[in-house]
Formats: sequence, C-alpha cells, structure tokens
Amino acid sequence: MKRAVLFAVVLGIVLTCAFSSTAFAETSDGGYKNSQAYTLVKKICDELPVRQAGKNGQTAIWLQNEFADLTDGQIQADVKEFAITDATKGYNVQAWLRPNTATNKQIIIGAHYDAEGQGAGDNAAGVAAVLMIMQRLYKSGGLPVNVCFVLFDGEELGLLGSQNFLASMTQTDIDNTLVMFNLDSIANGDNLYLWCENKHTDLAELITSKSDMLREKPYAKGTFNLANYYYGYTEIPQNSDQTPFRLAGIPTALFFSGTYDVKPWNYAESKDPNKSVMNSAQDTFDNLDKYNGAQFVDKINAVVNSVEQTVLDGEFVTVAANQRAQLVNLKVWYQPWWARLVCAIVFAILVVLAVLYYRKLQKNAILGTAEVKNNSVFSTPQAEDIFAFGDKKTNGGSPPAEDVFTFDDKKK
Amino acid sequence: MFNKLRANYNLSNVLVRIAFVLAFVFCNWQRFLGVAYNMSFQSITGGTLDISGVGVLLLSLFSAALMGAVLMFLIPFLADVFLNLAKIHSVPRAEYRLLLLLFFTIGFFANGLLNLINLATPLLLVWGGVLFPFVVSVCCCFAFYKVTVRLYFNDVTVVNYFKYYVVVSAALIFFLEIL
Repeated sequence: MKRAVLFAVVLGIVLTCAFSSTAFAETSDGGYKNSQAYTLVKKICDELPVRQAGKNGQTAIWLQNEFADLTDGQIQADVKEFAITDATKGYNVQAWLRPNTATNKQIIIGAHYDAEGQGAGDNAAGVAAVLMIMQRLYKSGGLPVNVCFVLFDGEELGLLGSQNFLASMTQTDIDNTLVMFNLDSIANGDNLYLWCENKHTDLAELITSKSDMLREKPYAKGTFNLANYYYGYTEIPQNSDQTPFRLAGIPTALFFSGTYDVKPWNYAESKDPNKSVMNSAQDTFDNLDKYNGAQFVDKINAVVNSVEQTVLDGEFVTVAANQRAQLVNLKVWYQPWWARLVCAIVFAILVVLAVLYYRKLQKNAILGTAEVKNNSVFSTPQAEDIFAFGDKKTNGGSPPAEDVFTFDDKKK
Repeated sequence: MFNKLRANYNLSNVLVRIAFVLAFVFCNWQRFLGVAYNMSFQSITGGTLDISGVGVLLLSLFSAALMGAVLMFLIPFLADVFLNLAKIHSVPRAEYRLLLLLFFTIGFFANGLLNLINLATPLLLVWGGVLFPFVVSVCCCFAFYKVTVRLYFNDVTVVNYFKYYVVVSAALIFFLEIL
C-alpha cells in the first residue's frame, strides 16, 4: 500500500512537471524577454513597422546602421539599389566578413526584410537571426571562408532582391559560393525545418546535428501539392530567396518554421489558426509574442546556433564543397521542356502518319463506295410508339378507346 | 440502362453535361487550387477580399465548375463552327455535339485519374503533368474520329472530314498540350 501511494505521488509530481514546463515557457516573463533575439525582433517591428517593398529607402539605412552598431562600427554594410518599377526602387543591404587567411571561397547568409504589414514572423525574426549570426561570427573569429550577410528587399514581390543580388555575381563568384543560407519565417510555425535538397545530404546532416530543435523538411513524396507556396513537389520548395541561387547551381539551406500536418487548403505554418498569419495584418510582434512566447526566441536561437556552429565546424568547407555533387540535377529530369520535347516528337510522328493515312483515304475514295450512312447513336422511336394510345402500349392500363366513347346502354 | 439512355436524348444530354462539368473539375482541381491560392495571397496582401482556409478550396472548386460550365456551351458551339467550315451537313448536329462532349468528359476523367499519379513524386509531377494530358488528348481525338466515321461518313465523305478534323485537332493538341 505504501509503495502504491509513493508511486502515485512520484507519478503525480512527474506529470505535473511535464505539463507545467510547456505552460511555463509560454507564460513566463522571465528570461526570454531579455534575450537578444526578443529585443532585436521587437526593435525591428517597433522602429520599422512598415517595410513594404518599394518604400524601403529609410529602412535600408536603418539596417545599415544596425550592422555597424552590432559590431562596434567594424562592419560597414552597403546598400545596393535596384529597380522594382520605373518609379520605385528596392534596396539590398549587404556586408562582408573576411577570414584572417585569404580565400576565394565564400558563403551567403541572407533573409528578406520587406514585409506585408508589420511582418514579425515573416521576416523580422529572420533579419534578427542574420544580425545575431553576423555579430557572433565577427566576435568568434576563425572563419574558414568569406561570409556575405545580405538582407533582401522585394521578396514578397517575387524574390526581386535575391534575383538582383545573383545578377550582380560573376560566374566565378557563383562557382566559389559554397552555400547560401536563407532564413525565412523561422519563428512562428509549429516546427523548425531545414531544407537543403529533396533527399538527405551531408550538409543537411551537419547542420541538423547542431540543434535538437531543427529537423529536415519531409521530402516531397507524400506531401501536398500546394503550388503557390511550393510546400509540395518541385525541387524549389518554399518560394523564397534561396530559389534563384539554387537554380544557378549554388547549394542552399533554407530555415523555416511550419508544419506539414495541416489541411491542404491551409497555410503550412501551424495547426493553430492564430499562428498561421504569414503575409497578413495579424503577423505582428504582439501576436508572435502572445501565441509563441519563449518558443519563438528558442527557434531563433536554434537557427543562430546551428548556422554559427556549422560555419565554424572543421568539416564545413569539405562538406559544403561536396554538396554540389549531391544536388539533384534540375536541368534534366525536372525541366518540363524535356517532357514537352518528347510530346513534340510523338506529335510529329503522328502528323506524318496522318498525312500517309490521308493519301490512303484518297485512294479509297476513288475505289470505294459512296453509300449513304445515316446511322445514329440514339434509337428513333417507331411512329406507332409516338402516336399510339396508352391502351396499346400497356396491357390493362387505360381502358380501350371503344370503352371510353361508347354509351353505357350499348355496353349492356 | 444504356438502351434507355439511347432512347432518351434529352436525359442523355443533361447527364452528359453534368458529367462533363464534374469531370472537368476532377481533372483541373490542382490547377484551380493553385490559382485560388494566388488569389488568396493577393487578397491578404491587397486587403481586398478575405479568402482563406477552406474558402480557398471552395473558391477553386467553384472556379473550376464555372469554367466547366462555360466550356460546356462553348465546345458544342465550336463543333458547329467546325462542321460549317468543313461544309459537312450530313451529320446530325445535336448528336455530334453530344458525342463530342461525351468524349471530352471521358478524356477529362481519364486525365483526372492520371493526375492523381502526379502526386506521387516530384518527377512525375513534371513529366506526368505534360505527358498525361497529351496522351489522353491524342487517344480521345483518335477514338472520337473512329466513332464518328463509323456512324456518319462513307469512303468518299471521310476524306474531307479527316482533313479538317486532323488540322483542327492537331492545332488544339499542339497549342494546348505541347506549348
């Protein structure tokens, strides 16, 4: 009896601790609100509440200053201007961190800063993470490669900033770029995902080994085909700023937060509707804090730690260089033009056959008969079926006509 | 059942048209879902409409059904235009139009079934998305031609019919399925 009571008490304590730990993380004011991630995201949302592409001139300068502030003025970011329309311009903010030993190898760590609405989850969190990574790598030293930190504009209008950045790279730059890390919407969803390729690679293994929270995105097989967000099939998942780089043959690693356990017509962000707020007016810092609590800070920290430790890992350069050999060949099998070419060849053969058959038909027309064909799919009813009275069509239905039109006395 | 339908044109007409719209929706739901997602995205960012959640699915189904209904009237009209241009007057128009809709229905349904295979892998999505509609279109065109020739055309009149039919169907397949 005593053992049973003791067991029940211990079990109760364990269960209480287990359930209260998650509640604590969401409700506690202590700790996470003083973290750098929390402060940075809040600062971006408070001081840059509107970051709409095409109106980001001042935003870019603010971010440029932030680069300098976080590194005691040692890193000076450049603002690169590009045209969105004839009247509007976009601004990429980029800065370089060089290793002590000169090398031509480089990596890119980026996130977009433009947003629809306040854009706390999409993508102030990603911007904060890039800034934190920059600060840590700057302080840590021992970089194996050149690192370019870039904050893209115009992502929401169709990856304009990343496309312009790529356009400014030479082929040598592209060849020397080992990996492009893209951080997009990393804080708001149910899970923290990494996406490198539609298969397991050594780079994905290396990156995910740096964090327990981070896991690889499920491979495309068996997931939904939601074309707009590319959550499903194509080797270009998550239509985000890594896409132009991946199409240019540069290995990419996308960090994003979401879930694949939702109905196909919902955003793949969260099962909780309060957290599925990407690209909406509800994507505010208050909501991010209210519905995620310490979890969003944990996710940002997990991404920052993973990227930092990956880049500083002794095997990183070797693994990253080998990643190119593990890329799926998008130029052959995943291009619909090859399938269209096959169709075109079959089509051409069919046209030739049709011409030959036409000649045969012409000969048959001379030698054959010209019998009148008036077949029909639908059977034509007989005239008597149309005009017959009911008594003839159905036995025992209506009374015979003579019974209707004869007088009673004649019947008798 | 089949004989009853053959004896009742009006009933067959209604049933084929309903089946046509349903088959069209079944064939094209993935495409319309993508369009609806884009509209949803625009509505959110533009703040004009509020389309989200299950509304996206309903919007895509409604759009597909609407497009199917439009095609249901457009295809018979184009069939009439074709027969007039080809100067083919020996064909029972109503029956020909109904047969055409029926073969479109079969084609859409077959394509819809094949499109489900597309969901298996990314590779099939790319290749199946191009090859399946092409194969189904060619097969349906061939089958429709064989049926109509057997019913309405003799050795002499088939030459003219074949000429116009191949030109029109080849143009449609080339522009709609290959390009």
